[in-house]
Amino acid sequence: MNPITEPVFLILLSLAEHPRHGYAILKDVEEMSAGRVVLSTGTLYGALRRLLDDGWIDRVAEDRTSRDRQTYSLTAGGLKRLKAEVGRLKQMTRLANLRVAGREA
Amino acid sequence: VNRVDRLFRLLLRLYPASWRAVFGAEMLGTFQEGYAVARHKVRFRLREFVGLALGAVREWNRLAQQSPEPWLRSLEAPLLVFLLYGFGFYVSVNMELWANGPLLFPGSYVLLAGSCGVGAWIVGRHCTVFQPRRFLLTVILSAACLIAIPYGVRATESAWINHLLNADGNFHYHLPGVWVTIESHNQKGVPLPLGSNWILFIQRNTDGRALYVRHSLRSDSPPYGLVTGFLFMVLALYARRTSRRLSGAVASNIR
Repeated sequence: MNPITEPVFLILLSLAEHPRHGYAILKDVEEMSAGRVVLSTGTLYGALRRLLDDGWIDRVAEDRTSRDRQTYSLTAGGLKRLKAEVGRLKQMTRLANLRVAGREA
Repeated sequence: VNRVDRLFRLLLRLYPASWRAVFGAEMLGTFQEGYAVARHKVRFRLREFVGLALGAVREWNRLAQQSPEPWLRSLEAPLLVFLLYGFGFYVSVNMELWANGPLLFPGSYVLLAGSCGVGAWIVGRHCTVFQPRRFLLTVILSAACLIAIPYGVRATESAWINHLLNADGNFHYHLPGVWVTIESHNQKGVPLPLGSNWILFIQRNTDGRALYVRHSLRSDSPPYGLVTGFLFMVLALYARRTSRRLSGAVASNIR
């Protein structure tokens, strides 16, 4: 399993809390990364498209009369993948701490 | 609709139609929400427009990768483009269709490249050798290009020559391995540099002025014809892999 990129990881984290629409995801990603990751609309929808294709997120119309307001939610498969990524990061952090502590000792 | 929205809509047209049908309105809505509260409008616009262009390239690329047509079959159209271009290049160089060798106006090369690019795109979209009706369309379009391109080039060339003669100015440009210098002299005026291979290109009877051209091509100059031929091949292949018929099929799984 390939590690996922930081923007995709942040998008999945954003949707893990509750379903959001495009602009809400952008703002949340920016806040979570303390302004370090700022996605453009094109980048966001490119990532959403890939996540939809992979079946990690779902897309539902917030308002049936309007096409410009769609909400995205995490699927069970997406949640599983996110948990796996969090586990991988934990393992890497633990390993990094051990190596750094060993060097300082 | 304000100017920024219009530009955003225009850039959205870079995406395939299937993408716009699904995400177009939504992306515009997201952009408008963000733009309304953006503190640095110029920076925001720049980031959005660059992101949009890059996103369009990624999407076209994705479609090309997911094309249901086998790669070997997709090569049919680009190979035809390469053969057509090679034939045109051979005829132009060997039969000296361009009167005195090189084209004088640099824009002529751009015009040629643009026309051949459009031709490669059309052939890539439509040509299937094994489907006679599509193949016929390709042949008709190719024939139209073969007639239209020389006329276009001739028109720009004569306009450029007239401009040089009227302006009485000097002009030169060079690419790696190629130098072209053009000067306009009075017949009794400035003598030509000694030892150079200037060519008397045209003479106007009315005012007696002439146009001199020096064109030199080094033997180790890059193979421009071959390289552009390959570029057109890639373009035709890209058009083939992302043709509307195929991209529609890929988009349907999202709706």
